[in-house]
Amino acid sequence: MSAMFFGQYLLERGVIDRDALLDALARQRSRNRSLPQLAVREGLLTESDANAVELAYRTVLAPMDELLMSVGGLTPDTVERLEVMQRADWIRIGAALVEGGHLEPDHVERHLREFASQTVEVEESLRERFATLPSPRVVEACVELALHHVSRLTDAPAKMALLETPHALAAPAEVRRSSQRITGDASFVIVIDLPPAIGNLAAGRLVGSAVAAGGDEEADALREVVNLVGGHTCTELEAAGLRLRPEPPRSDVPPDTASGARSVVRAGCATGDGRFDVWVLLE
Amino acid sequence: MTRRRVMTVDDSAAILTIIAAYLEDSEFEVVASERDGRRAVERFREVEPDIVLLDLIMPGQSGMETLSQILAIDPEACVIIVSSLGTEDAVHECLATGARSFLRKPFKRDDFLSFLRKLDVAEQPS
Repeated sequence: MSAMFFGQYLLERGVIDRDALLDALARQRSRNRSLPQLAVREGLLTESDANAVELAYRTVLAPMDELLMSVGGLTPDTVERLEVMQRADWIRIGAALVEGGHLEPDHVERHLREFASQTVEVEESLRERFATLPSPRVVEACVELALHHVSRLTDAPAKMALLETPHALAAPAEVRRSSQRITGDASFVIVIDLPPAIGNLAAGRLVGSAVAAGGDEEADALREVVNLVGGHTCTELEAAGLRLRPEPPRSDVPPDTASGARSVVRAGCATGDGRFDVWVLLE
Repeated sequence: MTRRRVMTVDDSAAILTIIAAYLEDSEFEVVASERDGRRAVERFREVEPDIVLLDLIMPGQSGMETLSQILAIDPEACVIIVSSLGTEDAVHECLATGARSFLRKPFKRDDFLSFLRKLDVAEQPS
């Protein structure tokens, strides 16, 4: 997962500067409309109905065209006409940069290829397992990014071995716990429970030198690990239409989490010869 | 060689340590490190750094508030947001407020230095 949009990728590499990116984003924002927004513009849906469709899109795993028909009451022909209109107007960030004279088309193509090669293919079978859960997009992003970062920091492949929906978050016995609440269009808490040995290894690898087991430095580094997972989850879910923002990370769970969680998902994961848990508490 | 003076602001001591290690033996020098946004604004007035590397998600005063306050002191301040959050909304808000650029965590030393050098070259008068 790249957890980064193409414009930022170009900015980080110094291919474009801040003014170029702002100009391209402004071009996108003035042109690109979601299908419900277009339906409102064309007098096919009320604002209220369009909001209901947008909300459904964010919270259920269904394509937008289906929701426009099932929730918005539009016919297949009308939806198809809207899609044609959307494609005609839509401008991607690369095209917006070319239009603004900030990049040449062949440069965009080359950087797009490099950008795409950094993304990681997601296993289809895993997607199917997530699809059975409440808020599957949210849970999938959290777990995959936790796997990615733990694997990166422990220098060992990490895989999900178990996915379940227990009644409650387990007490943090013999684990190094870190958590981060995400709020906005959805509200959830990501909790990562690492066994002491894996926690210490990950913390030391993050900092670049050994850290004392169970100490403040280790806890601080593990908060940064969940902060990476949380921040990247927000970025990943932005592509699904969710506007999210992380709160500062913690070494426990936010005090009001236990009473506020409507669903608890636990992903039991394995890395090297150790196991760890990623919890997603949907609020 | 005159080293460029850098102030780092992040609630994570781990990130401050990493950045300090990355900048060692480079043309950039960490002249102040703060873990709190309010304190960072005070330190900015005191040390007048060339570059500020600022985290976005911090307890207490957020990175956005800190960015606005630093720019209120010096509208030309070179503030770079360093965050794990890379949403289009966040990047746009920071750049539109006046941040010079946005760097997503995590990053490798070579990429980090290359990023700073490119930005710094662009900032220097020709």
